[in-house]
Amino acid sequence: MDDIRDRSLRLERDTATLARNTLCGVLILPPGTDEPLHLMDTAALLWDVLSESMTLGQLVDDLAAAFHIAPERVLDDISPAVSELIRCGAIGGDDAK
Amino acid sequence: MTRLKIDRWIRSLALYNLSAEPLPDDTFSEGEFQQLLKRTGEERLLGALAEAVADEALVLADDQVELLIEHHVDWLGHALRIERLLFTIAEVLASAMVDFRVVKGVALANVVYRDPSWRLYADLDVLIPSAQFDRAVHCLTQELGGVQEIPELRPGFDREFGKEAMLRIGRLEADLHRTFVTGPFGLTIDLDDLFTRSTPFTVGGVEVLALDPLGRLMHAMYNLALGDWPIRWGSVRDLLHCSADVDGSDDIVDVARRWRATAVIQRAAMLATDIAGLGDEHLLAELSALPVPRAQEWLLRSYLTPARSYSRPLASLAVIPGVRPRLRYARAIVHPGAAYLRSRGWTQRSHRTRALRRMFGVRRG
Repeated sequence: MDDIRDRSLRLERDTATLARNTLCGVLILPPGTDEPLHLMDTAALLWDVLSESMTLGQLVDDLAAAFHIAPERVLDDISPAVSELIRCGAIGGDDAK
Repeated sequence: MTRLKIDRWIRSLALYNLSAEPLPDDTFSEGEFQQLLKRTGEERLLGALAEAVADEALVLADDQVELLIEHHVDWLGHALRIERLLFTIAEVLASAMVDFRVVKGVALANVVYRDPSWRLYADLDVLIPSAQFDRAVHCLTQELGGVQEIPELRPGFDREFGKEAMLRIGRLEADLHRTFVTGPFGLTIDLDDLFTRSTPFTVGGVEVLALDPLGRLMHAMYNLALGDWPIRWGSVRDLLHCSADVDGSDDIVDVARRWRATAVIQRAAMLATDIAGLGDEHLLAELSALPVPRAQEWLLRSYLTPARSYSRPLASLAVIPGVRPRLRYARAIVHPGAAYLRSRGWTQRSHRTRALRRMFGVRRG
């Protein structure tokens, strides 16, 4: 699966994914696995921001505005983490169209 | 000196954010920090240690923070697996029309503590109504492959007199509770009270129910007064947290009177007040001054002797109403079933000998 870059993709936390704050990020347990994932840095920030459902485009634009970085650069930075969160089932990605 | 320092920190962490006392202003050597980690794990206070570091109320060296993160994440991973077990169990019990309340660690972490990451736990505890107890055990063993490693004393004992059934489900432990404690004080609780009200919370998108604030406080008091000895400092922290959710002592005193548990409440309040140095204005300080009926003092003693695993059953006979129930109870205690004895590696004879030795303080040799 290539890293996701479709800005219209709607991202939403999977409700069955359990989570706990750690001292340096978030520990999550998505469905279908017994091994928790420890999200740090970018992935932890994404998990936090995605407490509300939004499209990838909205996410990119919000982060770009907050950190004063060009949206394309934000997309390059977060795309691997978003893709990984979708792959493990912690985040659902639906085509918003 | 290290032991005293660690003891001081354990007490401070138990009271962290619950009293005006600040944390001590200490740093730790490598050896001291290892001991602190070990003790906080034993006392169920590792969450409080992590909370203090997160709040920057305690500043550690970088390598100590890394070690703490490692321990904390390990416990949290276990907690998440326990919560996943909870919603599996919730589904099975709902299908079987069995009511339940989540109690102890999972409930307190999600309902009472400001962040569930600061309250760690090792297993899942749920409270089941007596009339549904056997059905709950049956469907969890059948549907989820749960194994009850120590069976009930005799068939039918647990639903009428028992405290809990412990089930191993995969690598995890689920404790199905019928009442708060073994012995006489577990038998005088009006268990229907515990299912009248509830506090909902959500785990993984599934709504489950905890006890209401008064029920949680009562449970925390029973746990402190009659549970582990020496007491676990985490139990003190739990009680202090739960006491903040209840307004005034009238309802507590009323329930304690109806449950014939004033001695339990008074003892728990006294322990917490002494340990935490609570002022007279605190709810628990007020409850520690309750007069205790003499009959309850006698029942309480049955929990505090070294032979309590035998003195409690004897004391229980005093509170069980009716001749036939008393006979059923006595028969189960004196003559447990073969399955129970086998699970313990005992015979009838060795069971009786052990009981007599414990009751009369007779030593071997």
